[in-house]
Amino acid sequence: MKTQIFESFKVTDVVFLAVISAVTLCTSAVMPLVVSLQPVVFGIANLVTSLQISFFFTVGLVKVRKTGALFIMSLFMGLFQLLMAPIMFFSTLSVSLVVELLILIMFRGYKKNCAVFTAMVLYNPLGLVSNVLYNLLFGRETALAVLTRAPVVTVCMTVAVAALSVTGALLGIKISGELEKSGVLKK
Amino acid sequence: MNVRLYAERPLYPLFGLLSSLLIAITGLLAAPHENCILFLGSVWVVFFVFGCRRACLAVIPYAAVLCAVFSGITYAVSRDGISSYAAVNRILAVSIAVIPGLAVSPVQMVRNFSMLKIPRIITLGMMITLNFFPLLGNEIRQVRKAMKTRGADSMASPRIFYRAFFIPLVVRLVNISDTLALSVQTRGFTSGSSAHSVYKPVRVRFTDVAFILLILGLCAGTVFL
Repeated sequence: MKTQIFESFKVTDVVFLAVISAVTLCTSAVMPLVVSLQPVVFGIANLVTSLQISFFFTVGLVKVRKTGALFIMSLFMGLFQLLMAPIMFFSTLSVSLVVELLILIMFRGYKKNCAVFTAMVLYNPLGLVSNVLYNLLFGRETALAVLTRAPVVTVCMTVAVAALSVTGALLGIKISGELEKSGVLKK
Repeated sequence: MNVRLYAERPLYPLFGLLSSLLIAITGLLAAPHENCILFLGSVWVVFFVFGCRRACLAVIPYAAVLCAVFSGITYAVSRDGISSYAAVNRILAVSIAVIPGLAVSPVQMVRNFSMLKIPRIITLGMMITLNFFPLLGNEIRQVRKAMKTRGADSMASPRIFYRAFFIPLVVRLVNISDTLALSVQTRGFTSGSSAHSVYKPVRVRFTDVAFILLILGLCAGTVFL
């Protein structure tokens, strides 16, 4: 049987994705605390949120394996980021669109766990890239200076963000697998 | 969301959202400049005058603590007074931009979005996300109580944290979302674009227009002067 790439979202899917977004948002509440350190330490905001985002979004994607699920979660989260930092909203949405597109090209959707894993491993590091691109485009020298001021810190932070994303995605897949086996996480 | 913080005379939700956006952008852009603190102070007064008194007062202690901690850290790292001043302004901008979010009830916001014909999927998701925050705190407390009952007191051990806290929490989240979906469906919500009615329409009043014009003026003044 031919599998559909674009499936419509049911109310249950939207509710689950909204719940996951709310939990991710709550657990990412530490981010505003470090936002003032952004011009001093590169990628600090991404570092403190990458584990939660990759873990909870993985659970969301394992339950709702539909193209666009990542974008919907990012949209729900982004709507609240819009109130605090509009840049984050645009960064979150643009990154989610890029990841959705990449997964569509590479795996034709989230049917396989490796697609979910790849999506979540790409999501946070691409957030760092989008921040750099934004600052390059809009010429915020202070934000760019932090990138070059301490290259070792920049590399370490990038590696740390990637490592936390991998950890979160693996943990998410492991827990989702256990919940699927026990029948809690029905598709 | 804390019901006690809702405004006595709620702002038009869309204007509230727009004001948050404008304040956050202007505050972050103008953070290193001298007049930024004046702009933020004026915006706070505007919110206070336009009925968001409780939310305005509620953000003060949080903003004060955060400003003290993070301007201190910024100064310790950079040894630069201007950077510390900018850090204070960034925190204040974020804290003040949050005020409309605290003062406007989620129901009011969803009604407004429905009237503006914003896709149902967004309004539904937004309402669930907003209402889920207090629920999550309660769930975490219940999981912690269950942990204590089972004799798993320490959260420091990764094994205990994973088995006794993480998994039960995720299971609860899945169950809650299933119940919530059922409840939403029984109330006639659909994810499609079917016709729907808003029985208590949210309308723009003169004070709302005055509010948004004041905010726009303050933002424009800060950016251009």
